[in-house]
Amino acid sequence: MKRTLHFCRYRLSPKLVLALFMALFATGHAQSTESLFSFTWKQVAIGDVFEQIEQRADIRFSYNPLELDVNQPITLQVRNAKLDELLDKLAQQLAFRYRLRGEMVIIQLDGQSGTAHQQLLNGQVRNSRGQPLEGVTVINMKLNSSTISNGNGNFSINAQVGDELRFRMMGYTTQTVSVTDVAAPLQIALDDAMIELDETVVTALGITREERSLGYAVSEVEGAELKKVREPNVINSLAGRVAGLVINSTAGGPAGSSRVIIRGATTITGNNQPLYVVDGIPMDNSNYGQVDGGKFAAGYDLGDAISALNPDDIAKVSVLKGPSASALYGSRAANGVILITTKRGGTNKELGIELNSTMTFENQLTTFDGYQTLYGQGRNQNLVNDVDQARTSLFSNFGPRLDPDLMIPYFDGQLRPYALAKDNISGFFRTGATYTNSLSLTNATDRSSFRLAVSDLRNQDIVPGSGLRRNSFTFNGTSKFGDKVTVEARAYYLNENVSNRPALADDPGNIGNNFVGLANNVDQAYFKDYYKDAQGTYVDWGGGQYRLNPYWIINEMSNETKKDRLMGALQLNYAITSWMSFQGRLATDLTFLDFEKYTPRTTPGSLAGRLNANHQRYSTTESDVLLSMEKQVSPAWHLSARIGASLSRIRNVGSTMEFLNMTMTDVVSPNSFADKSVIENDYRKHNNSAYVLLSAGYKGFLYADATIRHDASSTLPQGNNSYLYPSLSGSFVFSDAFKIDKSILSFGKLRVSAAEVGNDTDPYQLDLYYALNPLSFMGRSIGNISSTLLPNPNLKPTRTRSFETGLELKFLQDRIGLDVTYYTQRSRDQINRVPIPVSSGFTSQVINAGVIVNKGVEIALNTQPISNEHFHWDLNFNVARNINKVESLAEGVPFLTLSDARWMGVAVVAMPDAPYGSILGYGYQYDPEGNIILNANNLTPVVSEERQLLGQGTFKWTGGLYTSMNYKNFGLTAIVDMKLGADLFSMSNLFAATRGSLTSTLEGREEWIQSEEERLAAGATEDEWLAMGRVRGYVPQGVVQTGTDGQGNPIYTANTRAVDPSLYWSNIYTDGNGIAIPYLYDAGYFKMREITLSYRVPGSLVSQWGIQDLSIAVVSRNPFIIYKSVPNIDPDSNYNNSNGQGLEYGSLPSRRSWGINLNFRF
Amino acid sequence: MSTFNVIQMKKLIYRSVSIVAIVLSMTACTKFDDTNIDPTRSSNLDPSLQLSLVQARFSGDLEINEKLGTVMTMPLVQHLAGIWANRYGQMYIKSLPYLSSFWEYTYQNDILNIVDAVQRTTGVEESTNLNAICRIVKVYMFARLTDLYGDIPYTEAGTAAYTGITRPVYDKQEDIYNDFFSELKAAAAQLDPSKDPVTGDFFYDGNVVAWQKFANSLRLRLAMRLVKRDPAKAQAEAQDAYADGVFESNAEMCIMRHENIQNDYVDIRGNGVSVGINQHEVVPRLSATLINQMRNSNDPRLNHIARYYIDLPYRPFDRVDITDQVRAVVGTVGVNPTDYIWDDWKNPFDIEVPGVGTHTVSNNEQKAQPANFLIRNDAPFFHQTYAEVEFLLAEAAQRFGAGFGDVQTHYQNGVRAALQQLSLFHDGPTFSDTEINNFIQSVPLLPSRELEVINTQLWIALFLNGPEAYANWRRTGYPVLPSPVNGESNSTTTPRRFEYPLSEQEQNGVNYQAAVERLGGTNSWNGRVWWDAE
Repeated sequence: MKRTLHFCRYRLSPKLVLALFMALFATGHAQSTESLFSFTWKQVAIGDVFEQIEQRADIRFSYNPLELDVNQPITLQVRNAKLDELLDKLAQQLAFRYRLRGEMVIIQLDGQSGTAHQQLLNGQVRNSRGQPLEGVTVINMKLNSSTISNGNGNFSINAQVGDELRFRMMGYTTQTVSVTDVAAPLQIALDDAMIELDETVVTALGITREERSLGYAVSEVEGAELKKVREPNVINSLAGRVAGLVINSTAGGPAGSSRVIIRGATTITGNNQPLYVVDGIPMDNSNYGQVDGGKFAAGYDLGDAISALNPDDIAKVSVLKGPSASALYGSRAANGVILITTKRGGTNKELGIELNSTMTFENQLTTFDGYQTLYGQGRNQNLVNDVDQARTSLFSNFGPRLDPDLMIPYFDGQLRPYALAKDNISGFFRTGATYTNSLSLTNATDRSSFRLAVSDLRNQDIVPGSGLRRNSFTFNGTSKFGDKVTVEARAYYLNENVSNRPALADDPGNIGNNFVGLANNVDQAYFKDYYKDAQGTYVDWGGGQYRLNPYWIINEMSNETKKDRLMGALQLNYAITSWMSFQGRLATDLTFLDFEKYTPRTTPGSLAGRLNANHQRYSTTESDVLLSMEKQVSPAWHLSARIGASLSRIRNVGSTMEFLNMTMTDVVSPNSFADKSVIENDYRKHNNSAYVLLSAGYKGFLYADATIRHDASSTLPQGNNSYLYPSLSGSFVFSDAFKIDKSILSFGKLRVSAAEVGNDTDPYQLDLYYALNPLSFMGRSIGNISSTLLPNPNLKPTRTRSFETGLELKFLQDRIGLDVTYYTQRSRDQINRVPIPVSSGFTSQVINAGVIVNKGVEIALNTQPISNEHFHWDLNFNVARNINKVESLAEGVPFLTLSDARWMGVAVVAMPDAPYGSILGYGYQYDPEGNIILNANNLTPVVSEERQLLGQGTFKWTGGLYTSMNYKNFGLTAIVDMKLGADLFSMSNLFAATRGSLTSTLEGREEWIQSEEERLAAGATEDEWLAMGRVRGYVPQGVVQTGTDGQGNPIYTANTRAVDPSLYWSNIYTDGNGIAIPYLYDAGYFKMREITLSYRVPGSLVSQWGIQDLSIAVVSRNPFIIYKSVPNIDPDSNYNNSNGQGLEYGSLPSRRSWGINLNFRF
Repeated sequence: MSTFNVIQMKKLIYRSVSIVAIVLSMTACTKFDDTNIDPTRSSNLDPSLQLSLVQARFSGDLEINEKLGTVMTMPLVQHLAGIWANRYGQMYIKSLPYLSSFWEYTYQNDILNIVDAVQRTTGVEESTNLNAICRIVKVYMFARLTDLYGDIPYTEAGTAAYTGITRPVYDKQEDIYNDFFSELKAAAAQLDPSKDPVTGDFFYDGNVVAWQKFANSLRLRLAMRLVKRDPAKAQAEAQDAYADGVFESNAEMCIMRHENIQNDYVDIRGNGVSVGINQHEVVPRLSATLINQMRNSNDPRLNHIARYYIDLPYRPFDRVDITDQVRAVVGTVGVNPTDYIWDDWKNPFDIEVPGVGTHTVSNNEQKAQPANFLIRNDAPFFHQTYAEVEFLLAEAAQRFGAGFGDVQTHYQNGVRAALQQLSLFHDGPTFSDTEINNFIQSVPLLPSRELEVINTQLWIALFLNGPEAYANWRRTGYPVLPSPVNGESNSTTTPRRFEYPLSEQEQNGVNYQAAVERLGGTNSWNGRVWWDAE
C-alpha cells in the first residue's frame, strides 16, 4: 500500500523513463543475423525441420497448411550456413519461395512447378529512378502463381508467351505486361503511385495492421497529396477527401485555426475536435486563442497547434472515425483520432535529396455581388450638405440617385462627384503571395537511417501588412542495436512569426466589418492618407469607436505572434522473442507562444494607449510502454495480445497582461505604460491509463478485436476519477470465406464494432475560487469570486457509446470499390456547462447531464473508369450524412447557448429534440389569416413573444469528389468539396441592408423621393402630406392592428401606408431582438477546392544536371465556387471554431490561390 | 545453448512483464494530490475586498452605467438627447439588451459578491461593522434593481454557491421593500465605533457614524418611493429614518471618487457614468427640456452645466470651448426630445476663436452639451446628496405635515445644497450667497404646486444620476415631460420599467412566469413596478 502511494506521488520525469529503458537494455543480449547454423536431417518431417529452425534462429515460418504437407519428410545437410543460405537450400529442395520479413519467413509454394510447357522467365524490377525494387509481388495471372523480387530487384517466375504478368508493390502503380519472349530477361519499371492503395493501415497505438482485419472504418490520405497544393494549415488540405470529416477554417486567414469534426459533435459544451497523434504519440492541439462565442466576441484567431506540421514531413494521415477505432487512446479520442505518420529515413543507401518549392498568389475569392449601385451616400434620400453629415453618413446609402455631375462635400472637406466608386471596398485588399521551400535529406546504412528536413514558409496575406513566416526543422533517426533493439529519435523545431493577424467579429479592428455598408460613392482609397493628423493623432473617419479606420489599423496598430515549438520523441523497440516485443516511448511537446497587440494613443476606445500581451507555455509529456505478443498459434489461428500503459502530463502556464496609459510614446514596450496588470494562469491535467488489446484472426477471413482501457484523470473528484471502458470489433472477409469468383467480386468484407469511451473535463471545476482585480484602485486591492461558473464537486466521467457496421466491396479487379458505413453514437452523462439564470449569481453550472446522439452513413465510391498503359483515371466520391440530435439536457434547462450572435437576439443552441447547433431567434407574429403583423407606429415587423428554431448551423450532408488523371507524364487532379443543409446568419448582410447597400433595399426609394419632391412643392408638412394620403414610398407587407372587436380581440388591417425606406431599414435591427429570417441564408455550397496540373519531366532530360526526378505543377486552392446561395460572403464564413457554428459577422473575403509547384529529387 | 536460451528468454520475459506490471500499477493510480487545485487563485478572500469591489463597480462599471445612464434613463428623463446612443431612452426605441444588461451584469458581479460578503461576515464577532456596512450596500444595490424591474430575485439571489439554489424565486417588491427597511434599521443599529475598524470602504473610509446617516437617508429615499402605493408606510418609515438622523450637510453625503481613467468595459477605476457619456464620438447633447427649465428659471447653474465646444471626435477633453461666441448668436439651445443632433437643422455661421481663428460653427455644434467638468473620468459620483434628503423632507413635510419640520426651510436648504454640490466637482463652480438667494427667489414654492416645484428642483439636482432621476420622476410625475414619440418609436407612452432579461424568461421560466403574472401577464416596459401605482 505504501508502495502504491509512493508511485502515486511520482511525477513523470524523463529520467525515470530513461531508467526503465536502460533496464531493458541491460537485459538484452542481441542476437546476430550473422549466426551460422548447422543441421543434419534424414527423412525428417518438414514440420519438425521448421520447428528446429524456429528455436535456433528465433524466426517463425508462415505458410498455408492446405498447400504444404508438413509431414512430408526431407533429407538435407548444411554446415555453418547463414540463415538465408539455409533457407535457400530448403526452398530449392521443396520448390517454394520465401520472403524473410522481420522474424517471419513467409513461404509460398510454387504450385506449378514441373509443368512441362512452362519456362522460367527472369527479369528485374526497378523504380522510375532505375533503382532495383525489392519485395515486388510478381503474379502470373494465368497460372495464379506468384513470386517476390529479391534485393537486386530480380525475380524468376514460370511463364509462357501470352501470359499476363502483374507487378504489384505498395507505393507503386501496379503494372501488367503480356509475356512476348520467355527467354529474354524482362525489365520492368514501376511508377510511383499517386495514391497508395495499400492493404495495411496504421491504427491505434501506431500498430500497422492489415486493413481486412479491422472491424471499423479507417480512411487514409497520402502525404504526397498534401505537399503540392499547400495550405498554411495542412489539415485544411483534407477537406473533401474523407467521408464524414468536416473541416472549416475561419476568416482568420492563413495563420488561423481550423475546426475539424468527425461524425458530428459528441459533446455539447466541450471540445469536439479530434485527437491528433503523431507517430503514435498524442500531440498537443491547443487552440491558442480565438474569438469566443459571446455576444461581443472580438479578438483574433491565434491559430492551432496542428498548423505546425510541415506537409513535407507527412507520410500518411489516417482518420480513425469512431470511438471503436480510438478506444485505445482514451478520453481525448472520444471525437475520433487523426493519426499522422511522418517520413523516415527509408532504406536508400544513397543520400536522397528532395527539394520542394511552391509559389502561389492569393486574391479575393468572394466579391460584393449583392450590393446596389444606384443610390449613394446620405440619409432620408437627402444629399449630403456638410462635412459633419458626410462623416456621420459614411455608412448610409440612403441618399438620392447617384449623379456624377453633382459635387458633394466628403468627410475630409473636399468636394468630389457624387458618382459610383467601383469596387470601393475590394480595392483595399492586395494580392497575397506565399512561398514555400523545403529541403529534405535521407540516408541509410544497414543499421541506421535518418531523415532531415527544413522548410521555410513566407506568406503575405491579402490584408495589407499581414503575413506569416514559419520555419521548421525535422530530424528523424533510427538505429538498430543488434537484432533485437531498435531506437528511434525524433525532433521537431518550429519557429513562427505572424504579423498583424486580422481582427475578427465585433472587434473595432475588424477590417471586414469596418467596411460593410461603406457608401458606394466613397472609395476606400480616400482614407489612405486620411487617418491621422500632423501630430499623429487618430482622425475619425466616421466609423466611430467600434469601427476604426482600416488604414489606422494596418499602419498604426500592430499585433505580433511568436511561436516556438519543440517536439521530441524517443522510442525503443525490443524484440524479446520472435513473438513478443516491447515498446517504450517518451515524448514531449513544448510550445512557447507570445502574443502582443499594440493600440496607440488616441485610438478611440483606448485613448491613453494600450498594450495587450499574452505569454503562454504549453507543455505535454507523454510516455507509454507496450508489450506485444503475436503468434500464428496454429495454421488457422493468429492471435495477438497487447498490454500497455501510458502517462500523460499537461501543464500550460502563462500570463495575460494589459498595459494602459502610455506615457513614453516613442517606445512600444510594457515599460512605457503607467498601469500594468498581470493575470497568471496555470492549467494542469494528469492522466494515467492502462489498456489491453486482444486480436484473433481465423484463416485470413475472420477477425475479432477486443480492447479494454482504464483511465484515471486528475480533473475529476477523487472517487469518481477513474473509469473503465471496452470495445469489440469484428471483420469478415466473405469473398475469401465463400471463395467468391474474383472476376465478379474481387473483395467483400463486412465489419462491425461497438465501443465505449469515457471522457473527463477541464481542471479546477470542483471548487469556488476568489481572485484579486489585476489593478488596484485608489491604492487598494479589490477582489471577487473569480468564476461565472458554479462549481460542482460531484462530477463524474462522460461516456460515449458507439456502434458501427460497414460493408466493403470491390468489383472488376478492384476497378470499382464501394465502402459503406453506418454508425450510431450516443454520449451520456455529459459534463456540460448548462446555463442557469444569472440571478443565481452565476451564468452557468457544470453538471453531468445530457444525451447527444449522432447517427449517420458514410459512403465512399472509388472507381478507375480508365486504366491502361498510358492513361489512368481515378474518380472517387464520398458523401456523409450525419443526423445529430440532442436528446436531453439537464433538468429544467430548456436549451443551452453555444454561441450568441451580436445582433437580433440570435443564438446557436443545443436544445432537446433539435439538432445540435440549431439557430434560435425571433420569428414574425402573424394574424389569424397568416399575415405578418407590423408595429402600427414604425411599420417594422413585430417579433414573436419567444425565440424559435430558425435553422441549423451544422451541415447535414458533406462530401467530396476527388479525381485524378494521368496521361504519360501529365497528371491532373481536382477536388470538389460539397456541404449542404446548414444555415448561416449573416450579420454582414444584415448591416449591408440597414445601411442601404443590399439590392433588397431598393424598393420604394424612387417613389419616396418623388413623393417628397411633390410634398415640398406643395408646401405641406409631413403630417399634412400623410393626412392627404399622398405619401408614397416603401410599403411594408403585412397588417397593422387598427382596433379591437367587441370581445377585445385585435382587428388587423392590411398596411397601405408608405414609409421612408431609409427610416424603415435603419429600424429593422436591434442588438437583442429583431427578425433575423431574411438574413439567414442557406449555407450550402459546392466548391472547387483544388486543381493541380502536373508534368513529370522525363529523367533523360534532367539527369544531366544530376536530377533524378523533376516535376512541375500548376496548382490552385479554392479557385472558384461552383455554387453558393449567400451573397457577398463566402458560405464558409464564421469567426471562430467553437461549437456554435452558423454565425458570421464582418468576414474578410476568402482567399483563392494560384501558383506553381516544383519538386526536385537528386 | 538451447537451455541457456530458454532460461534467458524466461528471464527476459519475466523482466519485461514485471516492468510493464510496475508501470501498470503506477498508471492505475487514481490519486493526483493537489493537481486539481488552481495554484493561481484563492479559496478564502477577505470579504472587505468584495465590499470595495461592489462600491467601485456601482458607479465604475461602464457597461452598467452607460446602458443605464446614457442609453436609457438620462434620455428618458430628458436630461440628455441627440446622439444615436440616446435614442433608446429618448425616443422609446426598445432594445432588449439595453434593458437587460444592468440585470445581467449586476447579479453576476455585484449581487454575487455582496451576498457572499454578507454571508461570510454574518455572526463573525470581529466583522460586526463590516457586516453592517455590507448589509447597507446590499440594500442599496438591490434597490436600484427592484426600482427598475419590480419583483426580482432577492432572498435567494446570488446564493447558489452555498445554498445550491440555481433558480431563485422572484420576491414581491413589497416584501423586498419591507426587508429593506428592517435591514437598514438593523444595520444602522449594529454599527458600533468601538467594534471592528472597516478597511476597504470607499464611501466613508470606515466611518460608522457616517454610515448610520447614510442608512437612514437611504431609508428616507426608499420610504418616499411608497407615497403613491402605501402613504402610511411611507410616512412611518420616513418619520423613523428622519428621527434616527439623516444627512445635515453636503459634507455628509455619500460620494464615490474615481481615478482619471477612461474605463473600458473591464476597468472600473474611472467614473463609468462619465465615460458612458464622454466616450462617444460626439458628446451627447443636453435635452431642450432641461435647458428650457433652467433658462426659464434663470438658473445660475445653466451657464456652467451647458457649454458649446468645437466637436473633436473621441477627444472630449481636447475640445475648444466656444460657449461665449455661440451663445451670443443663438443663446443656449438643446436638442428637442423628438430629434437627433442632425435634425432641426441650424445654418452654420462663423466665429472668431482665440488660438484657432475663424471657425464655422456647424449644426451639431449649435446644440449645448454637458460641461467637461461634469463628465471627467475622475468626476465624483453622488450616490445620495444632502440636497436630495432636504427635497425629500420638504415633500414629506408638505404631504405628511407635522414631524418633518418646515417645508420652506427644507426646500431652500435643498436648493442651496444642490447649487453648492457642484463645487465638489474638480473645476466645478462655486456660487455666491447672492446668486443662491436670487435663484431661490426665482423658483418659489408655488401654492398648490409645491410637489411640482420641489421635484423639478430634485430632477435637476439628480442630473448625472439617471436611475434615481427616473425613479423619482415615476414616483412623482414631475416635471411633466413633453412627448418624444416619432416615427421610430416602439411605444407611444413613456416606458415605466425595464423588461426582465430573456435569459430569465428562458432559464428561470417558472419563477419568471409567476412574476409576470403579477405584472398583469406581460413583461412589458409599459408595465409598472409595485410602488408606481397609477
